[in-house]
Amino acid sequence: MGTNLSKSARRAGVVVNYLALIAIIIFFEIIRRMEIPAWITVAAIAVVVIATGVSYYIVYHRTGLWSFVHRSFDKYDEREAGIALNSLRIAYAIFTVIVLSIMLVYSVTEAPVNGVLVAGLIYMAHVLPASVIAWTENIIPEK
Amino acid sequence: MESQKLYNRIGLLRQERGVSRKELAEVIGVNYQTVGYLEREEYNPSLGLAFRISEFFGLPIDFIFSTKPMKPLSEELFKLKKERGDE
Repeated sequence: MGTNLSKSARRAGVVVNYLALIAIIIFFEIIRRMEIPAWITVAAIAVVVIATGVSYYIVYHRTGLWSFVHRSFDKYDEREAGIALNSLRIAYAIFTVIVLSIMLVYSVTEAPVNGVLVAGLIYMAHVLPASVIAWTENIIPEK
Repeated sequence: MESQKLYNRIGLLRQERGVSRKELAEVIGVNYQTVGYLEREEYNPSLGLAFRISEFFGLPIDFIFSTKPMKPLSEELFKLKKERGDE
């Protein structure tokens, strides 16, 4: 199974992943509003997409965290079930606050909803429980 | 909610029987990492899991788990022998 990264390495990976995700969303918003040369746009988006993909692979895929949080519930033992449920509880609270805050900003500014932002939130909804485990657990659960 | 720390002799009994963590984990139906957590007393098992561990070792639950730090088996054996008046 997965490679067990140190806690600090996992935390760094989580930060890089979310910063890259935010950068993607911001770039698309800037592109929509401003006229930027195509090669700069493509280069900037390529860099942040690669950063997101690489950090996703290292932190979530290679460690097995992605498959851990997406495992069927009856495949967990009682300790793992506790970890999974706690991560979902924390992720739910974080995700709800972020989504509602974004909705509030959009409703106040009356800006059109950015499709890339929605795609980013869907991605975030899937990786957030794994991020919580990567951030909090000393040892990554293995199977 | 902070749970009460539970002490145990799982690691000692497992080594005494020459059983690996993976073998014990398979029998009691948990991940082998969970056996490590139990041995380091970083995780308190459910009552069902405690019973499965007790059945595996063929020993009463209160011999394997305790709410107080457990004395070394040699000390308990010596105390028992002394009580019985054995040489």
